[in-house]
Amino acid sequence: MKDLYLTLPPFAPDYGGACEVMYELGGLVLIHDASGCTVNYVSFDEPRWHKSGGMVYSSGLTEIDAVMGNDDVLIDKALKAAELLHPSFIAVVGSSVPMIVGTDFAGIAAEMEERSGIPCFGFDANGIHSYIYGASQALEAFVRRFAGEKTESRGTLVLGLLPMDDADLNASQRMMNLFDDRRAVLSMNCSLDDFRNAQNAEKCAVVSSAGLKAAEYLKQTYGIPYETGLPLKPCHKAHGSLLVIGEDIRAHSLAQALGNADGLDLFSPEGLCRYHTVDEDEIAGIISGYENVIADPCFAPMVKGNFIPMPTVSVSGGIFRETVSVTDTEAVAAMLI
Amino acid sequence: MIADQTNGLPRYCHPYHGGWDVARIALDIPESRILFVCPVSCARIICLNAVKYGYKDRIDVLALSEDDIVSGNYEEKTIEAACCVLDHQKQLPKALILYVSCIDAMLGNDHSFQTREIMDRYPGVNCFVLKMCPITRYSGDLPLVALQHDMYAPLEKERIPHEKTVTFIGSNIAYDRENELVRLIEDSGYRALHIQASSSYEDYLAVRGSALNLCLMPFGKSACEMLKERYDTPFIPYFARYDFASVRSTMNAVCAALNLPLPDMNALERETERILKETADYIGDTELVIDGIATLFPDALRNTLESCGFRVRRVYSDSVNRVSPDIDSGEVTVPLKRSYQADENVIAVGMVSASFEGADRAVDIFYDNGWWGHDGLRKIAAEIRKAYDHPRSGEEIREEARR
Repeated sequence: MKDLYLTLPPFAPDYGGACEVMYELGGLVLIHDASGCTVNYVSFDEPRWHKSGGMVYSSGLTEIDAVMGNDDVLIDKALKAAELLHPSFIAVVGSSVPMIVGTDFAGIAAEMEERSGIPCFGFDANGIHSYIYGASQALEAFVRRFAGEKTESRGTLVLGLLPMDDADLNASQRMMNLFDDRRAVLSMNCSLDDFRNAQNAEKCAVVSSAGLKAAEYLKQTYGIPYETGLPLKPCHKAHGSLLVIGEDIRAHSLAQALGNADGLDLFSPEGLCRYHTVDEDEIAGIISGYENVIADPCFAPMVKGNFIPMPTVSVSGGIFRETVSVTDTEAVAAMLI
Repeated sequence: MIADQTNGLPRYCHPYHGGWDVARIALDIPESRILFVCPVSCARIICLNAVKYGYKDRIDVLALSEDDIVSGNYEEKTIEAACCVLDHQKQLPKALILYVSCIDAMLGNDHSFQTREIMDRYPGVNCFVLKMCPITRYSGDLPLVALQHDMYAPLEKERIPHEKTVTFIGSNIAYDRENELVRLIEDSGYRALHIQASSSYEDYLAVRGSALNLCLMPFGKSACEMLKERYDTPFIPYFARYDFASVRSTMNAVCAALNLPLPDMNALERETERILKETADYIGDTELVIDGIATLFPDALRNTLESCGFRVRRVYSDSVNRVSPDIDSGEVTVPLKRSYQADENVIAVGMVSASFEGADRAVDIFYDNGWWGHDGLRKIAAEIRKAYDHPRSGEEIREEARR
């Protein structure tokens, strides 16, 4: 049945993606929820939570404030916290209840900015879209807001690299290392200054579809060209049919590097992969046509053929350790039949 | 109505819940399974906990789209999904729990039509609704109090004769036989019933015939009140706040209710005091911080530990629980800033205080871990000693607590 998950867990949602982009940037981020969505994010969607102190909190939304449309409570809380924490920006991020009552996040951000003088952002996430949607919104908004006048043209700006796309932070670091001439990676090991200097990149590398809109903006505004995909080493060892399941650009890149393979994207309605779906029945049907499947371990019960587990935080929330690195295509190819 | 205790600030949310969530608690009902009906993200933490702790095969999710919510179409869709879930089972569950989230509270749905329809189609299945709605936390009972109440509410109302059974209500974890209270009950020929430790739905039904309900955790009080009204089962809120007088008073009350002789409490107290004092000497001037996530009775724990020579730096409260009259309020509310500097002279009892103090030693317990009384105090002492002996980096402690 459509929309029924009997095997798979729900994947990382839009508010998690938006928060992940902003985590290291020194801003105050409030998820506008009662607390459950924020607990989701800190428990399973943010691998950096235990390493460094990002300022992500719940607004503590109550039933009565939601029903009465009492947005002042949210604004007052944000501004009071800002007085204590001195953030470089304030962002409010939506969840399912604000969607029901039609909260105007852009309006709230504008009012907060007028009252505080601090750059403010509002993201209308609703817990229904994928993390790619939320991350894409946030990356684009920050590039639009902070990129300034072009003064040089140097290095590669990596766009859309999120810890959520990997098994753990070590794996993300290896992914970053694929780009020798990187000037910054958005959004990992980065700061707000990297957004302020985004216009000075010579080119952009888009490594997940979360980076596409920001890349397009930089191309249109500053003429910076971009390429999509991971620079993986091709390894065309003969093997049976292969399906790579995951994020669109990553799955497509790995499928291309290994050959005789298709990608299945779980997070966007369209893109490079052959398939785009989140429907469990449909996924099961597609999987049944392949001899090899590379996917997060949560997919294992759905696979009858050769299964190569490749965990990602976006699916299994960091529960599983890395088995084989996506950057080591030879090791991956050796596991195929 | 419960007041907001966040002092006009955003809420700090932590990932340290000992692997417990509302679904895992509800699945204490043996032979039950859950269908979450909610926007997909609401069920993420539930399903990932289930994958992590090995019970995902009892949880399914019907993901609601914006269209479903706007059109109200999901009432029919829920019935269809429930039937689909049940048709997939080799053996039907005895109970199917429809779990709804915050948006359900906003939409004010009446689910009786759905549950009736499902039970009509599957007569052997008890179908009922539970709510994961943190948004209502300030509108009524604490969510965990309401959950315990709602877990026992679907029991048949018909009374059955009382048997020699004592049921433990309100704790996530069954108390073990090392506990003096469990030992007292079982040694006297009574059955100590914890549905958490049972795999049979019959044991859930047997709660109706309990001779006495023991509510050692405040979360079970409302459920016990309902069970008393329905089945005339006596109960007293036997919260033991880790002080010797409370433990003695509870043991007295249980013995009086069941007509049992009181064990040698003086001997129990002497032994616990000896263990605590030895542990305090062992850790020397290392201070303790305690939080309201580790125990619902942090103030009482502090008093008992201090009376035995421990030095307690401070007690963090939980901003939601702190206003409940049955739960200790704690000394300070959680701040917004966490520390990532290692503090080498502190042992945190609870992972929230570990996070705020940057502790390099921590005791990872959650809502008392099913510990109680003298046995509980001795277990805490053993854990403090273990933490003292094994300092780790703050990051390692936090990461371990999450996994």
